[in-house]
Amino acid sequence: MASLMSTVRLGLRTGLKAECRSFVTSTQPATWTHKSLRTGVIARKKGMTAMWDEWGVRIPVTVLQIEQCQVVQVMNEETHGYTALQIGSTDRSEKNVTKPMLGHFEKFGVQPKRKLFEFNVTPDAVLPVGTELVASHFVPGQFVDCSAPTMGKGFQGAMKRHGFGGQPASHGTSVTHRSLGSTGQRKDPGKVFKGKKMAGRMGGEQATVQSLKVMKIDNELNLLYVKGCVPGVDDQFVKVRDAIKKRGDKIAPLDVLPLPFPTVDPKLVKAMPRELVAKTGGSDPYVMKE
Amino acid sequence: MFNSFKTISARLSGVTARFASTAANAAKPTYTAPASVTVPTQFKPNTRGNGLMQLISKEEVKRMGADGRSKLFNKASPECLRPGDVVLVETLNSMSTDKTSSFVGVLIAMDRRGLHSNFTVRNVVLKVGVEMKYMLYSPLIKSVRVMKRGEGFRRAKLFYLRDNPGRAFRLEGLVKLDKAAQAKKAAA
Repeated sequence: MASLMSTVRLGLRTGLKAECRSFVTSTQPATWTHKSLRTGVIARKKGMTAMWDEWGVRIPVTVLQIEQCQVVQVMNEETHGYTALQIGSTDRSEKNVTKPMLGHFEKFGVQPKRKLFEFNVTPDAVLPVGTELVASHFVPGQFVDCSAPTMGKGFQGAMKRHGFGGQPASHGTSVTHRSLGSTGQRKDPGKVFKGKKMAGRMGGEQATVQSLKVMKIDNELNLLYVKGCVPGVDDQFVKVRDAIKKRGDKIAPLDVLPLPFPTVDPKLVKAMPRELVAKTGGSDPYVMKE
Repeated sequence: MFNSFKTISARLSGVTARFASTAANAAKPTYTAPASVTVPTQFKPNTRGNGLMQLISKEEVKRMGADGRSKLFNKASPECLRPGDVVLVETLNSMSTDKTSSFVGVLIAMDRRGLHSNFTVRNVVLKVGVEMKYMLYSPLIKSVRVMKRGEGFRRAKLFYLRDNPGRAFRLEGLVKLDKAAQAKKAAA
């Protein structure tokens, strides 16, 4: 048994890594339709910085890095009842992976990953197992949604947690400046309703920030610079998907459409320069409009 | 989508299509940036000894400070700004015009923050104290010129000048001298 496990581990360490990295092309190139939904990507929030756009306006950006993001499993209609891609991010050494997870990755021939998420896709957007997703899956100027657990704030009072108003600071209020006040009525109903907003643990829940613009793409370091803030702490795993509220033509400027479908061709990525910056577009904000 | 055929004439004339030709042609795809995308000055990333954020910050400083404005904040450089210097900051009104606005004043604060380095310039304009905060690497800043070196200022931040200006903001004479010098330069 031990020898069998050791051979499995050896196989994972030596043989499969090179194969997994290659983009396995499907026989027929898929065409995008307005009902198509392509996969998202798992990125890691690396921090925030700023950049200046073509009008000289300073834009705060969050840097997201796509670390060894691969398709681990394909869920299909026949076996699972829905179509989705299980994406894994960030390689992990076998000694740190539990046996059940090791078996899971070995079954699909992929390096063990730190994080797994599923992304629902339409059947035409299915990618083969082992496909690596890179930053150029997104185009500069497109809108994305970012989901991640928010920063934990610990046990917080109702004022911070739910935005309650509290009581006056003076005029006789005794020892009750930040409390929640009344919690209900009187004999009818004679109870406090379930779900009453009270003090408690705040943060650490999944939040999605919608329609963040991708300002810059770095092909060598696999970075996405999105405009604005993304929930969570640094080094957090963030699910990045195409914005659901920007359909069709609205998702990106017309000259970068169509989006790479089902994902970008690695040969095209090699031909691209390292960094691509999106223009804000529109008119110069520092010039008074007549 | 990536299988558009390239005609023989197109290949011979050197015209490159946006997307690759088929595997049969075995031509390498080329990328041309569309109008809504700019390609900035490219650097080769040197990941040794740098965390990711430090690395991209350094590269961005190199890119935005290509005109040498980093020297203004570098203590080793003779052009370094010091709190107390009288400076003239020329800023573009917008990226689409060449018109500039200038502001003269005493440098009261310098914040070294890498790409986000900024400085504050104070002057009294028509009896009203005005402070302007400039981001060093902003593309709207055209030039920063030292008109007079500060002497006798023993602090990094001269916020006390807000209450005790003394004679620090009597700068009209300097401005006149500078204008004359500039006119002479232009004439010569």
